[in-house]
Amino acid sequence: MAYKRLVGVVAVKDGQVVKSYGYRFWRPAGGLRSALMNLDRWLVDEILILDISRRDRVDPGVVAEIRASRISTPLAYGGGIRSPEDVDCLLAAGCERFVLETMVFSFPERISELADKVGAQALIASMPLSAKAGGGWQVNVDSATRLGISDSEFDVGSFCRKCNDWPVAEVLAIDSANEGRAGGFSLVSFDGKHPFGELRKGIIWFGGIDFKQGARLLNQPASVAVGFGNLNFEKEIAMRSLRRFVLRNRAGATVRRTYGI
Amino acid sequence: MRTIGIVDYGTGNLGSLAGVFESLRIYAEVVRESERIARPDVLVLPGVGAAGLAMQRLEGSGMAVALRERHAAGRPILGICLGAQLLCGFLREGDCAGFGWIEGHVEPLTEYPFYNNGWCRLEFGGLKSAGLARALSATSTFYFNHRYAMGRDEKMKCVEVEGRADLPAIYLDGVICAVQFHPEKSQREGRILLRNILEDHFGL
Repeated sequence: MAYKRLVGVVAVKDGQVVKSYGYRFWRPAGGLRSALMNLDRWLVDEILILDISRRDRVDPGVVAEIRASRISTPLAYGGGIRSPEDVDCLLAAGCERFVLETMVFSFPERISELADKVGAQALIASMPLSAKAGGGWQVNVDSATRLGISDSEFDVGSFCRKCNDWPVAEVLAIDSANEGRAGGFSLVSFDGKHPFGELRKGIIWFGGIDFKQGARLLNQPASVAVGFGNLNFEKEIAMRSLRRFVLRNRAGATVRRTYGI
Repeated sequence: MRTIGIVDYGTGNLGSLAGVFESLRIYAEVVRESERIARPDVLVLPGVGAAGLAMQRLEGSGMAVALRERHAAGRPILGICLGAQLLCGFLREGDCAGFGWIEGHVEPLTEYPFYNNGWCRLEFGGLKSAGLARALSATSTFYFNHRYAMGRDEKMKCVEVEGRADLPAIYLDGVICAVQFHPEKSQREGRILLRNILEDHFGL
């Protein structure tokens, strides 16, 4: 149906764009408005802003920068969304899709409330994953611990089943530990196996993905998109190079050809 | 001065639309009162939202009555995504009646992954015969983000998604243009298509 998407991910902390490493270390990487305008010019398929400030509300300064950027690229936002009012101000600023993380763990009853307002097509469930000591993966949510929820370890299978039931369009699967380490992505062994066999929603992959891994991930049947973060601040017009690479090497016609490519 | 009115029914992406009209150098104003529905040269019903709540708000505010009067008077209306679906007869999401200017029901997509999120090409022959193809090509892509799709209306001109005869992307007649995707979020080609709709179809 639709082409698979190359997503430019912008990590934001305290109102500033950062290069993030595993969400634990970060370096300033400039202003949000110019980052959004650059990705818009490079014709990425979608932009995802992830505010990693761990606030309990959406940062009004970030909203103002989004509004001022006036971009015409699809824009998703994650971080601090707790209520329909948060979604209202993001929608008015120019976002049309919303990544839910704390909400899916702490207040899942609010997901339906949001879907009734903006439609399920606008909602994405975040699934940050980390390796278990004995092998395999677990859903890992720092915010659950921060909110006083004692059980911060979630079984991937049961989380996938919940995602199937929730009114969300897609799932953002994040390799938390390898985020920011190009080539470190390890959620998929590329033999067709991944820990989300029961998931019946499209998957957006993110976290330490390099060009080759990105091209291979797009060939996975469950994939709908692949996200690239720090890469955009290390290499000029990285996403255009990536699109050329994907079209030339691996995924053939699964991504669209943009102007000039 | 020619004007565009963007209807604010509480959940539309007004910021994105205002930005794209600004880039096209067209004056756009947000319309929140029913008495201002008749005034703009083209009225836009924006997308993003849930159908039931949107219809409820339009009916509750009196804007639905004003919209019906505008349609009866033959004044142009552009529906985008959810705004396009509201122009149909019945909306499964919300189980309520729409305006009924496009026949057929709006029903959920039935094929996995049950959502159409991403970029699609349009049937270029249809785009040309609809008179909307100026400065576009067969490889032009547009951003879709929907779970429900408009049904069939044989009386209206229709542009389909390429390779998907069951998925109408644009319906148009002399008064309305219903666009299932988001031209305001489809970068350069979306802006061109919006300009074509406003200038070539509506004669703005």
